[in-house]
Amino acid sequence: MNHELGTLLSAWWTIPFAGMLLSIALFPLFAPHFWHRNYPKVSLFWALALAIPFVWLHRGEATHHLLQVALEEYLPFIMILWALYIVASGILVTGTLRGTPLQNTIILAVGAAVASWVGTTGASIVLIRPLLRAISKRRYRAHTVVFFIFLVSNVGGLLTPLGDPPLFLGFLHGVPFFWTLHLFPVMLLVAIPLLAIYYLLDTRYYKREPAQADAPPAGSIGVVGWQNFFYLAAVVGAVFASGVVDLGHVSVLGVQCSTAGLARDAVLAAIGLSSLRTTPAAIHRDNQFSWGPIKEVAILFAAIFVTMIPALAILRAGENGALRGVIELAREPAHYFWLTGALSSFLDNAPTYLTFFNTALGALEPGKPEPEALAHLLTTHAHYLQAVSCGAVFMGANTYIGNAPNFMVKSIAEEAGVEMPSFFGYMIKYSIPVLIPLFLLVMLVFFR
Amino acid sequence: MAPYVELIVRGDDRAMKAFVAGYFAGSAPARVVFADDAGFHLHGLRERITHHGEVQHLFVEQANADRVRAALASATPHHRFEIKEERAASTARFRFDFDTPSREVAGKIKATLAALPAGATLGDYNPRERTEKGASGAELYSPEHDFRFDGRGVLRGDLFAVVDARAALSAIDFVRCDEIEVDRP
Repeated sequence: MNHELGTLLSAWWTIPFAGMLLSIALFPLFAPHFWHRNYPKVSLFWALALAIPFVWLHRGEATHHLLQVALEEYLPFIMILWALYIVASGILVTGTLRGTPLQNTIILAVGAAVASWVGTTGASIVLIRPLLRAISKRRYRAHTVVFFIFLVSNVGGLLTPLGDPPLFLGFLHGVPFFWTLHLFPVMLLVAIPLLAIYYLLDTRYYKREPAQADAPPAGSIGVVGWQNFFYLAAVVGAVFASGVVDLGHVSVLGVQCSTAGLARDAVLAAIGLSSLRTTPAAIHRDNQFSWGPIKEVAILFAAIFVTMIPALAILRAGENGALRGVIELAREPAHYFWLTGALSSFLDNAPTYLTFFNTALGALEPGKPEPEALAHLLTTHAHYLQAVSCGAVFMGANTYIGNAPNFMVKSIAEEAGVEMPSFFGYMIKYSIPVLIPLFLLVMLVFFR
Repeated sequence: MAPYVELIVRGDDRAMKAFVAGYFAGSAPARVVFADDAGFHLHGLRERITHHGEVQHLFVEQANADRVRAALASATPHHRFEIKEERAASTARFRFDFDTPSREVAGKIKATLAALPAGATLGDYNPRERTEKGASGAELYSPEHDFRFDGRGVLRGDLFAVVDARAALSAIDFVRCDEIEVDRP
């Protein structure tokens, strides 16, 4: 990204980005029917609100930025989500557990463990229905779904770029594939207490329930669609390899694209198509597979990536940019943790991550090219990026709108007959009393 | 004569419930409904002041009222349950509403309302069932349910039948029941 552009643009250029993120956050809450029917039009509106004046005023440079973002960020981002979504949808957990506190806790622990490798959305798709089947005869169920959102849809995605979209964006900007594994102790500090709290809470509810005369018969648990574990390994390998193999660059429409990156996207396409061809239709049917989620991601993130261009350029300009107030606000790792987290709680966490990723680069490595700035940041100020990563991934769990799978899990649970807490009920009853103290602990231990 | 009596009794609630349950388990059974368990509308603070202490509202059939009075009196000296007031009661009512995206829950609501206890009747009932063709399957950012069943109504009638109907409805997720209001004869 050209740093001079970031010093020239005023803060007004970030309005379409803010409008886009607020649309994603607020329309599903206050006008869900309108949003469901019109989100492509709303996205197009915000994208054009940025693109038309941007190209009009900055001509060739703006066009180059748009193409660069499309080829180097949007395309890989969509490809990885597409491939992971298809592969995860090809794995079906069969059988029914009895929904005891211990069995439920094990499902949550397994989900949190696999989320970093199959993605939080993929893990949620694979495991939410078996969990709902297990607790189908329980009287008190909503807390189990809430802790599933905490652990499987959010916290569990911290360890690899495949786990959560923000981390994959970091990977596309040069963060090494295994760098986030360093965050394992942070994840344990959140996940273990969450599992313990859930177990105690569920045990308490379990004791208050009437005897389960009609509890679901405990059948042996099985997994079908095993070939998709091979595809999953191939996804991990392709993404990892694209980060370590240097095959040079090729020019596409005037944009210098990484050959390894393009090869990775081609491999991901092949993996997705192979999974679609080899997975029995019955598995997709039982997982209620549809193209809806990936279509939403493709449309919304097209607009997000377009509208994000000025905001990121301004932030990368550091104190010379129009968003110097944000830079001045974030001085310490704890500030990055809470600022990234607070915004990730209400806005989508992927663009929020990239915003504070660029804020850190702008504040700590101003004026340097991104690869050089990032390399220096990772060796001298790694805590800052760790704080951004943890804030983005963890605090997506604070609200239903913090992370995409949250709403999906809520919706699936409600359709299965679980009465979920309201937007504010979720926060008041669960996320504020349970998550916020744990995040304070994380700050005290790791980001003080 | 009204078919039910409401006894307003001063005394500790847990002791009274345990005593009444034990007493009628050991003799000919008599149904005693404690108002706070069944979801009746009560005037807690006002009654505490009026009756100088914690009071419980018990609903019993007129035919069993003497036995319940005798049972409460027999608790002395271990417990002191003092009947402060008695009122006749016959019918009751409560409002309810629901809004669910679950077809299974919708089926339970319909089944419960179709098999109401004898003596309970459904009124002002306005159910609405909608399907949204384009909303099937999981969605991440624009989740909308492909099915919705909502409505509201009033259940009224014989007091014990209303109590039973409210217990059945309030056990279903997504159904919200208002407190029971007693109609005085």
